[in-house]
Amino acid sequence: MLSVLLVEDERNLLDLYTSELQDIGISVRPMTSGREAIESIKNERPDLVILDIKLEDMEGLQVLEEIKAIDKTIPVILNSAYSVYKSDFATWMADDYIVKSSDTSELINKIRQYAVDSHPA
Amino acid sequence: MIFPGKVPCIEEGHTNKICWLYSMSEGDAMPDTQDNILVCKECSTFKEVVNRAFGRRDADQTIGATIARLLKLVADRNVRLQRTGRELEHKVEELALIKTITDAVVRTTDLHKALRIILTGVTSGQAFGFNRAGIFLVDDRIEYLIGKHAVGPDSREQAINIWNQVGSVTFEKQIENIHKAPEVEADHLQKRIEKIKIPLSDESNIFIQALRGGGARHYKKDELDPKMQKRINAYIEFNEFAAVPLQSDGPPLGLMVADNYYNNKPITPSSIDALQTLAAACTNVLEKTLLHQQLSERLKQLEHVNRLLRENQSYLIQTERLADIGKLAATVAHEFKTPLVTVGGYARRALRNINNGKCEEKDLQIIISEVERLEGITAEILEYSRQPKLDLKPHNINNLVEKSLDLLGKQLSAGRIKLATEFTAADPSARLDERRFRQVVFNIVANAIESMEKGGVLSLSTHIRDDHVVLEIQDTGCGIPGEHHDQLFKPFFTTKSRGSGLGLPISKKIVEDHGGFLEFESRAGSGTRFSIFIPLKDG
Repeated sequence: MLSVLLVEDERNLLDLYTSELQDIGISVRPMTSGREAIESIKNERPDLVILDIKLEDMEGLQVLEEIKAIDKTIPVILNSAYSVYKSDFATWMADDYIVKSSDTSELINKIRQYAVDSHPA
Repeated sequence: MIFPGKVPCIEEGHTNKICWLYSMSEGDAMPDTQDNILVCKECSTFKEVVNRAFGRRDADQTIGATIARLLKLVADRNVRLQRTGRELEHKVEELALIKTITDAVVRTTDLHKALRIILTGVTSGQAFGFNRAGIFLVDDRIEYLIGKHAVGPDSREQAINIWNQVGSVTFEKQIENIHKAPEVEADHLQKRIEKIKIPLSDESNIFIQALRGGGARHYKKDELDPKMQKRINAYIEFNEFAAVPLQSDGPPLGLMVADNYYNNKPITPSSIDALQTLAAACTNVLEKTLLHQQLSERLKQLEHVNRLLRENQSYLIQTERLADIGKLAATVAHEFKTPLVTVGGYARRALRNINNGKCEEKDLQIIISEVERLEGITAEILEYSRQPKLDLKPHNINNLVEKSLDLLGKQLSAGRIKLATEFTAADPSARLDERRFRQVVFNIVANAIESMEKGGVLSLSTHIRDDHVVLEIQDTGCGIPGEHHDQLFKPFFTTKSRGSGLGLPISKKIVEDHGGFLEFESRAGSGTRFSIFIPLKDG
C-alpha cells in the first residue's frame, strides 16, 4: 500500500484529504506541524509527501528543504492556496506543485502517478 | 602763538593798540602805520620771536626784511594749514561717502547689487573718482578667486559719454537706481571680469599676492613681468591699477581693484588710502551679505528638497494606499480560499457519498462551520468599512466596563489571570454607543488575555483627564515588539494564526467615531497598556 505523509495545518482540510485518500486505499499519515512531519520522516520513510506551503509553526519551503536533506529520493508535492509559488525558484526543489482546490481529483491523479513510479507493476 | 582773538600790545603806553604779531595768525589785516612798526621794534616779545626764528646773525637785518620774511613764513604756514584743512574736509567727505555706501550695501541682500553699489562709489566722480573698478571674491568650495563684478565704461568714448550724463545724477540717486533695478545687467566689462578665475594656489599671480598681502598694492604695467602683463591683458587692457584686499579679522573675502585707464590720472597714495578705507568698511557688510546669500541659497535648496519630498510623499502615500488595497485584497482572498476549498471539498465528497449511503453528518457539520467562519470574516470586513451610525446615549463608563467583564469571568479563570480594577469616583459619563463601546473593550481585553499565555494580571482603571474619560487596560503579557507598533492599526495586520487583523483597526475606528482617541504603550516582554479616551458628556 502506498504511504503518504500529508502536512496541512487547516484541521478540516487535513481531515478531508485524509478521508479522500483513505477511500482509494492509500495509507495516510496526517500532520498539522512541519516539525513533527520532519521527525516522522526520520523514523519512517513515506512513499510520498503532500506539503502545504503556509504552515503555522514553520515555512513549508523550509520543511521541503529539510525533507530533501534527509532523503532526496522522497517525492514531495507542494499543495498551496497560492499559484504564485509555482514560478518561485524555491519551489523547484519540489517534485510537483498543485494549487489547492475543492476538486481533489488533480491531487489524486498526481498521487497515482507517483504510485506507479515508486511501485512499478 | 595760540592766543585766540585780538590781543592788545603789552608795551607800556601802547596798551590801547592791538599786537599784530599775535593777532595775525587769526587772519587780521597787516599793520600799516609807522607807529605800529616803531612799537614793535622796541617790543621784547617781538625781539624774542625774531631771534628764535632767524638766529642772532639775522637779528641785525633791517626790520623791513625781517618782517617780510616773517610774513612769508606765516603765509606759508597758512597755506599748509589751509591744505591740511582741505584734506581734512576731503577726508570727512570721503568718510561720509563711505557711510553712504555701506548704509546702501546693508539695505540690500542681493550680492550683485551690493557689489555694484560699492563699485559705483569707487568710480563715481563725486566719490572716489576712479575710472574703472572691480571686485573678486574667494570661493572656498573650489579654492578660486573669481571675478564677480565690475563697473566702468568699455571705451574712452563711452567714458566721456557717461561722465557727461552722470554729472547731473547725484551719487545717492545712482544708488537708489541700483536698488530699484530688478536685476543688475551684465555689460561688457562685467562679462570680461566674470571670466577671470584664479586658483588660490597660484602664488605667482599678482592678484593672489595682493589678496594674501594684507595691505594695498599699486601695480604698474611696466614693472610687471611680461608673462603677467600678458595674462592680465588677455582679459583687460591696463596701464596701472590699485588692489586692496577685502579683509577684516578672518581670511580675505576678496580683492578690490581700481584704475584710471581712460583719463590716465595717476593713482595717488591718498586715493589708494581712500580705497583701503572703503574696502575695510565694506568688508564687514559684505560678509553679512554673503552670509545672507549663502543662507538664502541653502534655503532655496531646502525648499526644493522639501518640494521633492512632498511630491514623493504624496506619491508614496498613493502607492502605499494601492499596496494596502492590494494587500487587503490578497489577505481577503487568502482568508477565503482555505474555507472555500474545505467547503467545496466536503460538498463534493457528500454529493459523491449521498448515493451510496456513506454520506456522513460530520462532513456536513464541517461545511456549516467553515461557512460560519466565512460569514464571520465578511462581517468584520463590513464592520470595518461601514459608515458610522452610532446609537449615542449617556452612559457611565464604569458600568459598561463592569458589564463587559462579567462575560469574561470564565476565560480569565481558565487563563489563570487575576483581575484588578480601579474605577474613578468622579462621574465618568459620556455619550456612547453601548454595543460598539463594549466591542472595543472586548477586543482589547481579548488581546490582553491572549498575550498572557502563562497567566498574569489584567488591570482596568478609569479616570478623568481634562475633558475626557480615560479607560486604561493593562496586561502583564508578552508585549508588542517595536517593529510592529506602526502596523498595529493597519487592517489585516496580525501575528496570530487565526486572527483577522481587524480587531484593533475596528476598535480605533469606533473610538474615533465617538470623537475620542486610542493610545498604547508596549514593550516586548513587559506587557501592554491601551488607553481609550472618550469625550466627557457635556453639560
